[in-house]
Amino acid sequence: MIRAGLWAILILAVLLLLQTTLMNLVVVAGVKPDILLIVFVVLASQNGGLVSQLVGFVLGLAIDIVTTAPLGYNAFQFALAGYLFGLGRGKVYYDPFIVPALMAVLATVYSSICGYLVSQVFQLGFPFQMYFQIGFVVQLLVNLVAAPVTFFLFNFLKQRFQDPRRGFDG
Amino acid sequence: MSKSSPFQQLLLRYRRGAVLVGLLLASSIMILFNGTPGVSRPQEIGLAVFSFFQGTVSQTLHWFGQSADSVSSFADLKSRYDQASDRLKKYEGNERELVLLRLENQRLKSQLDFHASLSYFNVAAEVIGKDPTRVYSSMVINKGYLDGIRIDQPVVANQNGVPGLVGKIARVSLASAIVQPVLDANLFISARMENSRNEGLISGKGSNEEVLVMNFVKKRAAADIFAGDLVVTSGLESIYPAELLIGRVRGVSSKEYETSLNIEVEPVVDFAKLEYLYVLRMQS
Repeated sequence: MIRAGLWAILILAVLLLLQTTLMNLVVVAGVKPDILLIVFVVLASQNGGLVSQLVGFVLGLAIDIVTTAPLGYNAFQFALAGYLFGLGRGKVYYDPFIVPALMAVLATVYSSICGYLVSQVFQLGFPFQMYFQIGFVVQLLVNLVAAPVTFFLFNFLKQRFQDPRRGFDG
Repeated sequence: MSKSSPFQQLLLRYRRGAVLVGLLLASSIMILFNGTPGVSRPQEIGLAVFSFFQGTVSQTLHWFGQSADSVSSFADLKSRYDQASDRLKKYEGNERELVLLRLENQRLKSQLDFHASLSYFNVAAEVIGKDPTRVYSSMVINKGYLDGIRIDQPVVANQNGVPGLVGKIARVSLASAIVQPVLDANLFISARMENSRNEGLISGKGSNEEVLVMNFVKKRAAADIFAGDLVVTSGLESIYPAELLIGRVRGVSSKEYETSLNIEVEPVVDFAKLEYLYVLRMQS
């Protein structure tokens, strides 16, 4: 379990770095694919809730550090996402296209709803339109298209680097 | 084997839920205490470490981009090589390089002219990273505390000879800083129309729509405001100097029951193309 968590943190740390640099080159209508969120929900549904909520908390804190978001804002969202998407462990079977795309859509919708609710509960002052404007639809479509590609690359790397005895997920 | 108490048994049984509650509680406490001086210290340290890696990746990508450009330029030159003599080809290659250098020189000269034209002491910086999320639209620059960057210093940019306000410094580490752009819905700037001198408060709508909203302009000013009018900083706050260009009026609307106008403003800065920024050191 610890091994799976450490692997997930390492993968997501690299992805966070790529999300803030490389992905700036892949912007569609002002929106970049959220590969970090996509891979996080895939990992969460494979690793289960306990590991994923801890990993989500650490990842969220890292995002809070590199953005102007209040410390704890993303940590809250990702910890909860880890728990919720971790409930799918053993129940979600990934095909190459549809399930990754569906997970990406669910994660994007979750991210906006949760972000809005956290903003309201803690009175961060962000309006409803900010989470559900036209950019939300574009983000949904971009993530929908990016999910199968990301999932394919993720699986490719996983098969290439995983430990044959212990496995990538511990 | 030691016998655990009923409370311990309960915790063990519902440990996933207990951990979740603990994490959410910790997050909530952090949000509630956000802005407290002690809380921002780990953020500064984390930013310093992360921005080092960001800078490295950014430079690597830049190198790859340049290499890709070089490859495509080479392919273009190759077709010319087939038609002309070796000697001519060599000169053509040199001339092409010269043109590129001249263009680069012009671009850098315009940045340098802008740098020198600013009436405030300023620090030039390069954008090395952007926000990973959709909601916030911050940028990371490669200058920090050691370069004289401090929180709340205004940030401007020069694009195609037009200087414009980008935002302000939100967080600083030793060698990098985070810029909170005017697009951020949480940043409010006191602004006025350049022609009619009507004042209002300008803010962003979020990261994706590059449109700003100017509020609190009295309804009676509607006749003086037209599409294309320039909006500048009023200078009423201590943060931003007066008359810094923010954007142009895109549209004016108002609801019957409201006393003020709702003005849509298009920023003069194209945030998708930002490479170099200038941080103004107001106190100097």
